[in-house]
Amino acid sequence: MFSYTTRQSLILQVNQDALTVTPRPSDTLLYTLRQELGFTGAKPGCENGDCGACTVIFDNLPLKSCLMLTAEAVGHEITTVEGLHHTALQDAFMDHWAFQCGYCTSGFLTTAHALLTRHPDADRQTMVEWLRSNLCRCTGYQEIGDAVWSVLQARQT
Amino acid sequence: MIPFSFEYHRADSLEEAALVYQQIQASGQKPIYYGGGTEILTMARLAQIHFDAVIDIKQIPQCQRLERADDAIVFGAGVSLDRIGQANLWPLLSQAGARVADHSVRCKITLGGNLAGTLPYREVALPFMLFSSDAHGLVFGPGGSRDVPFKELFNGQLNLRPGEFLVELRVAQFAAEVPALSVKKTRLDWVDYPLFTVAMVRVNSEIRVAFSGVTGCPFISDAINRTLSAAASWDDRAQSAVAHISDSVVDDLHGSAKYRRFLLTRTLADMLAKIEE
Repeated sequence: MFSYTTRQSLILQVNQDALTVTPRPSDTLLYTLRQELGFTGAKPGCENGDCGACTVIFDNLPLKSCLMLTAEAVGHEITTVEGLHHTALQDAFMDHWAFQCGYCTSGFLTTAHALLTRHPDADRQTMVEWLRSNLCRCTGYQEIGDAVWSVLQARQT
Repeated sequence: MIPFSFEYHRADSLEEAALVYQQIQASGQKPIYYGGGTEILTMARLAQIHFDAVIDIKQIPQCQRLERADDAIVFGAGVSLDRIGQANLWPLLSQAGARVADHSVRCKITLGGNLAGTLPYREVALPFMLFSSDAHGLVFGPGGSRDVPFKELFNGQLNLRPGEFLVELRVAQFAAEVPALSVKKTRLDWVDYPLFTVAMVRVNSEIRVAFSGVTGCPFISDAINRTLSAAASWDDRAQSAVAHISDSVVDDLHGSAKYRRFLLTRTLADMLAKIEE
């Protein structure tokens, strides 16, 4: 049994570092990442699991960090957008103009990065299904899809 | 940010979970069992629910079962809908689960959570409702474990005794071997709450259908199943089936009751055509 009942020290594995945090047991992972660790790439949007702006990579799967308690994340691998460095995906987003205001970009990048890791052989339908988890209120979906698809195609040829 | 504090307990065994639940309750506080937690956290953020402790049961090994065992398929209550889809041990359940929320959220929503939530849809119940004589649930609580026929466990919502939680669901292997379809209709967007979800199977010449989103909770009707199994055209059977549905069809901003009936009739006719081809 792991019990976390009051504010104490916890260790989170974020971007391959073991980091100490002291959240309330009721704090979400999004809150802790931003307020305690300064990983502001995870954006608060709806905080309702709808928009995907707060998406991080959690054990190689996309996770909306507003829908997880910090204490739940102990013992798991978390990657925020700050943990992605000069990836082909980020270059593709620039090449395809796959952002406008940029608020949703880190969520799209983490979702797409998890897709590339999990399903490097993904077809277009699978890509669309994964990217449907994120909203872009600038409606840049075409360019975002083109960017992700270009990386998938490059890896599949 | 969640505007109140509560404790977090992650149980390693069924016994631990039930024991800590009883201890917290005995101290005058309110515990709740916690699977994926998606609905709990969103409602807590809006102060729509209040509790003093969550007991996370999803990592208990029995709640993580996802396998064929003897002549049955076992689905742990703590397994995410994404994992169920990836394993695809029961394609009908995979289909029904694949239209719940969006992909990222399905990586967190569990089978048990979808059934136990307060949202009325509970789409993953539909496949089990179609095989209610061949589906069972295992629950655990202060009195130990209980094996419960699915039709007793679920009648539109999960029926658990105080302090109990769902451990797993089992369905006979043959359920995965008959023609089956699950269709979800939304008003506009692909990812949205449903106008309705329909699951249909053909067992020999018998058609069985279960509905979600049409009325206040998921349902199955012997009269509708008899109508859909009769010898008549797809359109006639679909119209007769929808005529059996009471006046309590949902009428809201997603769609009027009249529109739901119209779309349901077309959907049933299309599904009959597909499943009887």
